[in-house]
Amino acid sequence: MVRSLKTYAVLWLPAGLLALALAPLVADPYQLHILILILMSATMALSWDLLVRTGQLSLAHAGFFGLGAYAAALTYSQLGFNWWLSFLAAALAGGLAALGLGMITLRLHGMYFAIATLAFAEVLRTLTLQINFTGGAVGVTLPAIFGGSRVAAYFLVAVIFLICVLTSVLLQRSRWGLAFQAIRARQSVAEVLGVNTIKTKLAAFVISSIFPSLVGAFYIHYVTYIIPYEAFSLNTSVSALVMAVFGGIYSTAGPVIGAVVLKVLEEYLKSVIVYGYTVIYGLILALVILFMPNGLLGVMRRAAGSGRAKQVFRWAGGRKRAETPD
Amino acid sequence: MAVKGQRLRIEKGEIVGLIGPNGAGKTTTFNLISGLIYPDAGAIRFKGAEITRSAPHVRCRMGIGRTFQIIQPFLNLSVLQNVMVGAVFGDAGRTAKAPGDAAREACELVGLGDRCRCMPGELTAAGLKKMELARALATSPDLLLLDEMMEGLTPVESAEVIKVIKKVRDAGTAVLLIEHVMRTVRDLTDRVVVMHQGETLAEGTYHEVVADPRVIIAYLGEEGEGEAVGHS
Repeated sequence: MVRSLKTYAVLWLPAGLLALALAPLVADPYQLHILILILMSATMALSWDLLVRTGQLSLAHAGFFGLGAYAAALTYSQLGFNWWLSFLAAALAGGLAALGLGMITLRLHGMYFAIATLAFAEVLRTLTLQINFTGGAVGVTLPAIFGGSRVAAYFLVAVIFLICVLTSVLLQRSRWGLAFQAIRARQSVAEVLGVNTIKTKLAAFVISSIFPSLVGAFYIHYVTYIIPYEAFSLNTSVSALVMAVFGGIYSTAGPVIGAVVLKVLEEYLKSVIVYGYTVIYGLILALVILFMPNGLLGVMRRAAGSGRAKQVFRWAGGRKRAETPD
Repeated sequence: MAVKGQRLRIEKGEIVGLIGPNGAGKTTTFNLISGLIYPDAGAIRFKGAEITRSAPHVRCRMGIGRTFQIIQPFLNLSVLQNVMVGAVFGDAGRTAKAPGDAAREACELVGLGDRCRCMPGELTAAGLKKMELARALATSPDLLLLDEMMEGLTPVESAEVIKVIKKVRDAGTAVLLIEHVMRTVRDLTDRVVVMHQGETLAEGTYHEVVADPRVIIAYLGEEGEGEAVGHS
């Protein structure tokens, strides 16, 4: 039953929270660093999933990540904001940029939307490279947050991650979640049934973009420097997408599981195969996506004897017939 | 232009049939009324308000509900959730009903009360048609547009749906329906509008329009050579 997984959630949610809280006690600094990377990735993947639930595939996550990083760095170093105000500035910059970008691009679908959002990061990178205020190609440097306390940084990123999880769960359960799914299935029908699709997608885009901006702000404060090529790297967008797809999209657990598994795998491969680990990594990715179209979560649901997973396949089969537009 | 110079007026509590040969512009008319496409010229008014350029969701919230000829279920949502979309966003608090109750009521009205928890993939073609109707009803429409509701239904199922449509009409809703099954048109409609090549060809009761020679020609074609009739 579907329920069995949900019942487990009641058990493993407090367990997960406890593990998150206690991790710094048992982890050595290297492991703690990995945990921080995992939490950053999980937030990126899950926030990317928030938008894909409306059927819009975005490649703008790198843009918002870099924008957040630069907004935090510049307000901190140039305007003298304290750390949390610089995070606020990053969130605000990300949210406003998403509002503007969304109003222009959210009328596009599928590939066209993806390409338009891809351009966003490229434009921002070119701008930061050209403008003196942003430090150009040299980038910006900040002092390490919390005097370089890795444990404090860990808790900060854990809080950002948990807010993202909470946002995702609340959205899924609210009428917004219903609207997201309806829009994703058939936008024109949702519209005819009273869903304000433009407003809904815009809200999803803004919410989805605030989190990468916060992660970007955290990144610059934690890593202490950033250059435009890193801040606006396509890799950032793609890895958020890949982790979400790997774990299972349209869910809260899927992208988180995907981020954890892929980050651990990546770090492990890096330590075992120093040169060319990306080849193995890519191979595993390709195989999983080829043979588990519903991600790890889909496999887990099937293993839990869920009727839902079977249905997913049935719908996929039944879809072709019904997808003919009116 | 698929539809031109068409005049159409529907009153409260009236069932109007929209018929005509394939390609006459019936579905295009529905798309114009529900707002999926906008007209290049002319005006659309609803309950005294001009809605020519209003977005579809605005029109739905004002009280225009519709179904689609080719069923358009949300395959990722359960039957009840499908109907909930209409109740939550389409009704949008116009009626005082809680969306959950309204959705369940709509499901029961069309005879899907016991299939609420199913996924659309588990329904028969007739079940999907009924879900489509329930979804439109859940928006509490004052004008209901039904696009070939009876297509693919058995006579028994059609009779059920006809009963539902009459019930909705009796509650004061105006119904405009596209229908190919002439028996349904005869049994159900107060008035029939015949479309041909994007224009109104004839209008009247069922018996009046089927006796109209222009209508017969439009459907069956003219014998031998001669000028096409009906668009001057």
